[in-house]
Amino acid sequence: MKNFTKTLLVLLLVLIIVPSIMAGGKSESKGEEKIVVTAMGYGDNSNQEGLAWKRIVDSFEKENPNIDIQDELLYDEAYHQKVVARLASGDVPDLAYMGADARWGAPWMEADQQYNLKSLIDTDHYDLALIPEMGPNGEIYEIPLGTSNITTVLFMNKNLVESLGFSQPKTYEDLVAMVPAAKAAGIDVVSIDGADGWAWGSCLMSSFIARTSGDLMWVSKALAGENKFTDKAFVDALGLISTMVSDGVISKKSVLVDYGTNVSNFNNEKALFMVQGQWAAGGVENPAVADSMVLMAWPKMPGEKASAAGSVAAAWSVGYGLTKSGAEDPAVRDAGIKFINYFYSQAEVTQRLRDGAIVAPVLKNFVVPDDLPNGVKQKVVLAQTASSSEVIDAFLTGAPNDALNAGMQKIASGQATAAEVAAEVEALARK
Amino acid sequence: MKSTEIVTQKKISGIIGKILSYFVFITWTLITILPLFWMTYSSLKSNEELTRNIYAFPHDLFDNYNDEYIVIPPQLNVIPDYDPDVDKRERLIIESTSIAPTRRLMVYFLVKEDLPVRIANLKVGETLVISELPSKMRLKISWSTMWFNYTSAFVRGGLGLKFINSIIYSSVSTFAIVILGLMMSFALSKMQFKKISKVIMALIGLGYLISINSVIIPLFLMLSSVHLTDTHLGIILVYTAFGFPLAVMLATQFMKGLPNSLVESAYIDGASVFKTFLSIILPMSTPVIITISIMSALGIWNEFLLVLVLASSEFTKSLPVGVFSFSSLTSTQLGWQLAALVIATAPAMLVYFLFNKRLTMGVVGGAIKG
Amino acid sequence: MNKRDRRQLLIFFAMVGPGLLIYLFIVAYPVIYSVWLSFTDFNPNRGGGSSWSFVGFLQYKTMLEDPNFWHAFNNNMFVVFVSVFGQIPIGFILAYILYRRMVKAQHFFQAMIFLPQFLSTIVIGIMWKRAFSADGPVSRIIQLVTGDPTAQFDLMLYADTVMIPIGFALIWMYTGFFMIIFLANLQKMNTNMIEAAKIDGATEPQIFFRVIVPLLSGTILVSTVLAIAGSLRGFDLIFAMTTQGLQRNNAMVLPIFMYQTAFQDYSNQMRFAFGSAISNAIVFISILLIMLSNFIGKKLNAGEEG
Repeated sequence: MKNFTKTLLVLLLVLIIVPSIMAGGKSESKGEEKIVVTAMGYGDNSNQEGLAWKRIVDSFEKENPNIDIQDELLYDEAYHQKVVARLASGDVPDLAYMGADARWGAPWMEADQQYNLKSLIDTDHYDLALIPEMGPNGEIYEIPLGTSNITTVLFMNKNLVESLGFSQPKTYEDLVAMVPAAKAAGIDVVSIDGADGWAWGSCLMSSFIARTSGDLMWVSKALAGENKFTDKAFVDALGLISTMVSDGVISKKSVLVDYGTNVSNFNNEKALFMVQGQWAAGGVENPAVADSMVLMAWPKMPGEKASAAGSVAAAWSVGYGLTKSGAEDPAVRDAGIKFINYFYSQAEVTQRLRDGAIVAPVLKNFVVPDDLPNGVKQKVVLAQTASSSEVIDAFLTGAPNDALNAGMQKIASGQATAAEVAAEVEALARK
Repeated sequence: MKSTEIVTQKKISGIIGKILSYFVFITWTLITILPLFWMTYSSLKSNEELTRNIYAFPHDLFDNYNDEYIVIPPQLNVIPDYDPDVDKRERLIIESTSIAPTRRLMVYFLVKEDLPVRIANLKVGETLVISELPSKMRLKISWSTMWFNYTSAFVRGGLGLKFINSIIYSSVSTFAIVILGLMMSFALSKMQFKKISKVIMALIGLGYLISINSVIIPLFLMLSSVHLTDTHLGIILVYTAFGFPLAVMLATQFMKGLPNSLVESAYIDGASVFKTFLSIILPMSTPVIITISIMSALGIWNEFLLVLVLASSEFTKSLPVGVFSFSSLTSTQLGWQLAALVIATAPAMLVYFLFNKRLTMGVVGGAIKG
Repeated sequence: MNKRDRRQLLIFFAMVGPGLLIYLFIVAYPVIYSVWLSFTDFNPNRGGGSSWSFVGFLQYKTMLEDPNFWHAFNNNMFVVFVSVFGQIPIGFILAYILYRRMVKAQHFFQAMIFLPQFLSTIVIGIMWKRAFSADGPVSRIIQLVTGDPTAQFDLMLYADTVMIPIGFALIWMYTGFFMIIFLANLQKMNTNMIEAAKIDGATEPQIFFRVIVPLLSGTILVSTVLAIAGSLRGFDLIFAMTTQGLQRNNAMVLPIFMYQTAFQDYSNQMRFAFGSAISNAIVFISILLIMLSNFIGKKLNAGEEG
């Protein structure tokens, strides 16, 4: 009996100890003198952002053998959820991808983990004039990946449009005129990843509300109580969606199209235009399309006010920053800043520009290479020529924003009217 | 006369029943096989092919003899597959112009000294066709083109490590569930202290109503306060604990069916409780052990939410979470997604078809006593 | 209590202890924690452990007033309905067909229908999501059959139809499990009663309804309990089958509502407490339903015997 008890005890011990060694092993085996920086990167196994992150972490660790970046790479939903979860548990990363607005900054602000980088920023390297103030006293909580992040780009397949006998549309009516020819060719006029609620809000509505109201800052004024979501301008902007669907400019089935399908539709010449943010330019891999595509603002929409003509919606970029808990230990703070500077080095930023991940860098004396791909050049032109309006979800979050995004999907699929959606958003926003 | 009528009537309805039965079973089988079949062969198609024609058989990745490649300059996001510090030989860097062009996903570093002079001297921006390359290189490129989706899913998604994690979680937790669960069941069913046993039984029985999903919030807050999130131990403990209700319920019921005289005669022979458990009860419980093992291991192998919430590093993630990351909102590589699905499904299918009878019997053997 | 008893008690706890401790720590404690949490405004994100207070039934009140809760509740009831009145009867009928050997190659068919049980729910979800997507394989079949190149499979699009493809996937996935259970119990059944009924001249349907169904009533009841518990906690399949946004909101069931509230809605300061209230509601509802099915089962049984 004793023997058996012993064996059992040993077994149990093994059961409990082996996994804990395996779990603990990752920090112990790498030597004790290393400075460990826990980091939360943004990206995914299959996109450039993620691949670049992994590569940068690897080469940084190689160059700085005394620093260990313990990183976690997450994208989209998984990222947002994990931020909340880690903050809630007190397992705060030292360095993270974060924003300062209502969507990307809210959890960090709630947990009081935003850390002012102002005194740590090397002003010879970064151009402070290009980095926005994020707190009430001019605090800088993160270094944006790039300057304005244009979210409402209309990508045009120029060759395809011209092959049907049309040219770059100047007004909405020009788009409508393309519908019969496109239908006959079995392709869409404007493709949008309508299955993703955010695409409607970020990539479409953010521009439309500026156009119909003529006010580039309509959204922030609405949240301040100066405008109502039931105002005519907002209802009209929502109404544009149903107009586009009934005119055949946007297909009803787009509510079933996800991001990957949207990009590959455009890529495979199954649509004349694509609605997305500027970041999608890097995903267009068919050279025939990528080399000739035009990135444009929406043409003149019905009921548009002149003061917002040709505008695009743009938000400040999200980027990497330190957390308060990470900055507590000076060694970790310095290692973190070192990594951030490495991440924003001239070479890496140039690469990011080339990959199409940013519009323009926030570095001082940055030399723009002259052999940029077409999509990137187009972006720069757009950023320089178009006036910019606010992106809705940088201000509106949670339930009212969800209701707006879902509402637009309902409008597109004919399940709700613009007025109904506007009323719902207004009610939720004033709660 | 009348009886023959009834007989024919019976025959007709029997035939109709038979046809209907076959119809239902064959349709159901097709609904099961066809999507899996589609998923498997589509995972060998390039991204472009997948949008072009959804049902066509794979072609582009296989017919790669005349694929065109372009010479590209060394760049930051072109990551060498060799160690440039050790191997200093000059390389020609080429990228496919047809599969994920300009994405730096299909890039090769050809050693210049192994190339014919004409090709070695190609300038950036010039193109070549892989049939022009020496046969060894051509075969290598040809081969890796075919398996492009799979190697990408494996390497970039780190599915190998996640696979091992899934195996660790399922096997260690299942082992703990069986040993600890059967010990409990034995004590609860074959020892005195009926009152305590009843209380414990009720407590554990109630646990059947609680799933990991329903206490994921407190579980997360609690485990993080003792620093068990993102560890193998934490995840295994949760799986083990949530495996007990089913295991204890099945095993107790099973052991109650074993004659008491067995245990009593062992005691009379001077065997201790532990010895009795080990040498008599455990061997006799093999059927219920198999059932518990299969049900537990299967559930853990496929579990998703716990690992999604608890595991933050690549080191602790399991297969379902890895696969899900390929279908995140903005992922554009549909081929990789399908390959990841196949990688996650194939082992389970293989085990299923090899041990089909045993597994089915296992799930049943004691799962329910009517 | 004498010495021997005390020794026995010690051994008893040595046997029960390790498992019970893990169980109490991982299962029982969080249940209590969850109940406590749902009566507070606790948010660990906001200044840690000290700054919380009891808010009474506030979370439950907000929950019951939230139309999303009722939407998710209705969807969940649909899932329960599909499980209890879809998976179980279909599983039973399929098992019966196999049992009476109305089809040949029964092992093959049995293996095929049981197969989805062995695939990861996430994989199945992603697979069906792809299949039902715009211009996806199912749309293509519809286009081929109808000859209309613009035809689309659009059930996933609308709030009032999105549960149909999901219900289909649920039936496809879980029916095999119940089929196997019924088949095993059918095979264990004493055939004398069927023979006796045959001799008495009973027809096939009579045998089925008068003899076999009552004999398996216990199995049916247990299956029902399993189905109810399973469908109320189901998260993965619907999560993987839908895209975040309108589609997932349309198809939202209580566990997804709980997950989105607690881990995604950071505009809600009390999200963890609110989320706990939702999880507790899920447990409460499943207990109610299981008690109900037990009650009905007993009533029916009593009726049979009487």
